[in-house]
Amino acid sequence: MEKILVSDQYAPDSLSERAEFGDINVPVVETALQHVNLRQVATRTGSGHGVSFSELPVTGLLVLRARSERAALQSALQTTVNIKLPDTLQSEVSVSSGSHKSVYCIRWVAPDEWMLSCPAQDAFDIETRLRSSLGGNSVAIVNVTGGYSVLQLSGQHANDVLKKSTVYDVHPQNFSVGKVVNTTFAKAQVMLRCVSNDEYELIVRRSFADYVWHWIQVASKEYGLSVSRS
Amino acid sequence: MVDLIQGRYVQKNRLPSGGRINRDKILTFRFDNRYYKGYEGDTIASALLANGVKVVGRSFKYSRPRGIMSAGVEEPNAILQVGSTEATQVPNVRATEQPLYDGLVCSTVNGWPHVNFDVMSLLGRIGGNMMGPGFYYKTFMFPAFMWETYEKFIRRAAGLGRAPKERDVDSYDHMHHHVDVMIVGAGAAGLSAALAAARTGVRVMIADERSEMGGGLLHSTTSIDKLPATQWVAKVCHELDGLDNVVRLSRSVVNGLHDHNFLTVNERRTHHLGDQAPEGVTRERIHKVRAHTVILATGAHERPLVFGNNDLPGCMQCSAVSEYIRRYAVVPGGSLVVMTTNDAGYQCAFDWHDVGREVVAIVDTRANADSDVIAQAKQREITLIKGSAVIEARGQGRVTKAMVASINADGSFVTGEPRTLICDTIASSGGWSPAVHLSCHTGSRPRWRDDILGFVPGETHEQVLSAGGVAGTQTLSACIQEGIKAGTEAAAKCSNSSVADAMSAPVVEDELHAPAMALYLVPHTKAPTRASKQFVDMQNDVTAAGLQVSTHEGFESIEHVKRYTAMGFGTDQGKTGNVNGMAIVAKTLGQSIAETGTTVFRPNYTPVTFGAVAGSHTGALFDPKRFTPMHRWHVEHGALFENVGQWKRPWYFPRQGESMQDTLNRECVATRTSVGILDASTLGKIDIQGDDAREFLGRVYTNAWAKLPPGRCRYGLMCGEDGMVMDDGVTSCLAENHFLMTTTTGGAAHVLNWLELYHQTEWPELDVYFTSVTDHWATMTIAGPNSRALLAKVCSDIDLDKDAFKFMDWRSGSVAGVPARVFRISFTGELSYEINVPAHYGLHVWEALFEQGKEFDLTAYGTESMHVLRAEKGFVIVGQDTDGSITPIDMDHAWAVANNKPFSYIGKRGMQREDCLRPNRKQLVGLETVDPAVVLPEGAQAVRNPEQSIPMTMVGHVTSSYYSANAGRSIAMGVIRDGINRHGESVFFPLADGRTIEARIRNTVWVDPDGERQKS
Repeated sequence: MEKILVSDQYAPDSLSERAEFGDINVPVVETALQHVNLRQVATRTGSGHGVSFSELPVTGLLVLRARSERAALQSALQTTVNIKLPDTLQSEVSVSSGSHKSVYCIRWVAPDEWMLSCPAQDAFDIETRLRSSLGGNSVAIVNVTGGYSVLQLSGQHANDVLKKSTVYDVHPQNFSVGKVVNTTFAKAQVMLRCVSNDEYELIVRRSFADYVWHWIQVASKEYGLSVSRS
Repeated sequence: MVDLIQGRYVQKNRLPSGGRINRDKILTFRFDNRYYKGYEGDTIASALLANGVKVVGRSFKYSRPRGIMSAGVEEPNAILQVGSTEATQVPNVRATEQPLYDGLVCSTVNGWPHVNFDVMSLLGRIGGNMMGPGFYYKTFMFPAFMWETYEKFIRRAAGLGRAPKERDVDSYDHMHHHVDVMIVGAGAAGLSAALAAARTGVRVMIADERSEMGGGLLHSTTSIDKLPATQWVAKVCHELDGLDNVVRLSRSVVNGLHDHNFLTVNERRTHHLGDQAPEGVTRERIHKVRAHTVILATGAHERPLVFGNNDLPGCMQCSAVSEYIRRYAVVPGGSLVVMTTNDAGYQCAFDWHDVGREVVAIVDTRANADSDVIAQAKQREITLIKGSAVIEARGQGRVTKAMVASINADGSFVTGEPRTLICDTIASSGGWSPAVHLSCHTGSRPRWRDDILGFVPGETHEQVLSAGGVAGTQTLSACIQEGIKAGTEAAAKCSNSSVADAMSAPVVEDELHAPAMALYLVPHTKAPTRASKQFVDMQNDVTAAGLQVSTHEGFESIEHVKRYTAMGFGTDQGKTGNVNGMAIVAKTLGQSIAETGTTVFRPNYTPVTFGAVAGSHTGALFDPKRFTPMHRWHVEHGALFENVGQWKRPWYFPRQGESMQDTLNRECVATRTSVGILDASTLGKIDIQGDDAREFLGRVYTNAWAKLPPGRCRYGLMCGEDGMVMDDGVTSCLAENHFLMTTTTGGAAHVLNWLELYHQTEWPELDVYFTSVTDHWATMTIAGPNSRALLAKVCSDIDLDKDAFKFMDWRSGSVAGVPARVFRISFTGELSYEINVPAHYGLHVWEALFEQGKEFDLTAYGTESMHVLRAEKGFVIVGQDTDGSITPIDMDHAWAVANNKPFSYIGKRGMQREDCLRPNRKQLVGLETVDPAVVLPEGAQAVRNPEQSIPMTMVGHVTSSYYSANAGRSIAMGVIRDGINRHGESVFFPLADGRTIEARIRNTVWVDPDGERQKS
């Protein structure tokens, strides 16, 4: 089980030094599907490769809300994480220097709402920096890192699994790389992003993760499901 | 399959060559306990006909033997029960649509004990004349109490199939599609449309109900572009399959065309493979298609003519005869009489003749038709009888004779002496009824066209085009041209680029056609009520006479006639009979068919299995189950779970040998004497930020929020506009412009919607943002006198001193090394801390608490003990102690209503309504049973005078009731009229078991009325 730094709080002035405790005070982090032991599942399956599934480690997630102060949020993001506010239904990715992996991704969620993802240990720091950069502007930032499970679905039949699961038009013509939608996933809600061709990110509420995982297993049965722990 | 005959098996009606069947693959199947053989490519119907099986069912009302009449979806008679095991039973399968597979087991759905010897036929034959239209209504209406008895007999005698008694072994699913052009039907018009649209690059889907695309072309003799029609079909399908932008669905019935071009398509994915779907494959799939433009190319169904005994096995549609001969290499008999009102009917005689069997005569109802087919008949030296009709079929269980007589020009009476023709098959064609069903699903009414003698799709506000047979087009070249035009037009509507080259139409040579005659009911020498039965609707045994009687009895609207006679009910929904019926009703009433109109066509076009409708939403996936981060611990510690909304909450944690009450007693006592812990993660939590957050709270809660400082928490009551309590919870001030609201578990989504609704529609000027953080926080409540000591062991950066961290304060700090918000709030009345940590740390902190809580015997308690503990303290649960008719005043929570706020709040006005202010409302009180051992049942009704005779005056009811180990007695809450003013009075609860329980009205607080524990 991964251990990540403790760094979650909502308001900077409440920060206090963390005391050192014994063993029980070394926090242990659990993703929503930790109990499934996907690594073990991965070794059991693997016969088919039509669909590949993984749950990402705990990912830092910040909800950003702004209406009239949109420009202020835009510039705060630019200076803090060097990322611009995306257009409607789009996402923007920024890569940290020296790394090829996207570190920050911001998704348009609603006319006044965005979701920023980042490494979990950076969430508090980014929130703090955004707040100080925003000054007195009325922008809401909510750390919801614990509230979601970030799942990845890929493979040549990943799109078919989506077609079984969501009413949204996920045809590549309509759902192109970088696009983000909030939609239904079976009877749950999902924030769905097309990461690259045949690769999708599903951000689901943590409490629904088991349901979504179960659903994906059923929906991908005919294509062959392989599981990886990324 | 023990009685397999090895070697060549003779299917007596099978031709030695031809047909689209695979003779190398012989399939064995069982029909009504006898084994037969057929070939791959057969339907059950074609295989039965090949084997000379005549009777495939008994009719619904008269129990007359029935044979296969058609070759497609419109079949009214050959409705079978299919399935070799109980779990794989499928009722009401059309034999004409079910592909044959090896080992198929099927049986007739009605007829007992066997189709060829049916006790019901006695009733049918003798009682037939007594069973007029409305027979069931008239006979079984009275006396009413007998209905249940009648029903059993009627159902057993006339059932159409039965549902399996075992769990379905197969699985089903759904799939969503979004396309530019959706084409329904893959005959000549549909395929042409698909090709024309697909070549422009737009997204195209084409669906067809049959296993092979091509529709009528598959048994057509014509050629397209100098290719035999079947080869042209193959070429088109090949091109479509090579295009990325096309989805081609066979075995897929488009069953519904709903508003905004939403279509439901039922794909039978494995019905042709066997009884049970292969591992990992769903048996059926419903495709839910959203299309920009829909092209209906559903073709037309041939109308059989209505004549005496036209239900005898051996009476068929002309086109069906052709299809069996050419597609399946099956000739359904030895000698054929054809009766037709139009040119199309001739083809089956030619097909029959060309395979070397006897065509006795073609009986053309038209006296003077002039067309190519007549010349062709002469060329084949087939006897042609003009201006005549088959007025009656004769035979016992099978056609053996046709009575033919000349008729007058409009077909209203017989003009000559009937003569007898010996034959075993009578094929009839009364013209073609366009399959307009889908066009009507969104409310459009079909339009009658005299020139084609059929209803065609009417006006629609949807983007729907029709092409080919469904539009009344009857020549092949025109069908193809219309298909191309519709496909091109539909594609152009969806794409901005104009189509460079319109697809050119292939070359088809049409023959000279003569107009068809409008004839539905063939005249007889006797009136319909006296002649042999002339069937209009085979499946429901509706006769021409029955329709006439209905109109004479006053049923003049076609909808009333339908319901009185049952015409058009059943699995076939009158696909062959309805237009004939409407024509007969029109004639009887002396009006036109257009004036008579049709009944309403509704989805589904053909029956859909429940499995397909449910899809994958079954079993564990029927409804999402939501789990808290600590769920695994609960499972490992033997929790039983309670559903709260979609959440699975621990209900109680029984230990070995404990009864439920034992567990509750232990959990409750442990909490009040040491420390207990509750997983409260499911509580709704809403983060509220913004300059106007505080103002907003003041408007949605009944109480005041202006002065709540950061670091403090407050209980809030939320009402609807009507002033009734809607939700409650504690809201904490995190910072000046930042609050955390908690809601009930079940009310979380509704409350968030409520806040957004009011913000977006009423007070958009307020600067406030709401974000659900329910899932973000794992919440654990430790309650009991030792909770502070326990918390101190895992938290060193919060000053837990009772004066530094007071009741209704909250602090941030770390718990077990994890950043936490700790709220000193209580739902038990005990000293209590609610620890919130991000969900991914939830299990860690929970386990750390248990690790450190050993010395206090930390006890996990579930929702049931939570209920008892809160009731001991008199805390209400919205939704249990309230029911949408309780104001805060009724709830005795006047203290939580602030009427001096500068801005109004939701519910303020509602609470001031006369009815809310009147005396004698039901009010929340405590109820103390006189006998402390007796626990009142929740829901029990209260009366003031137990001696009053029934109906007694009820004055309220019990809302919560438990045995409290801490109080050492039963405790209860309830709502009683004027209860707040009647503390000390007795009320009585007369129970269904005869007991009457007496209880005294009191306040709701049983434990620690002064609140010393929670403040300690």
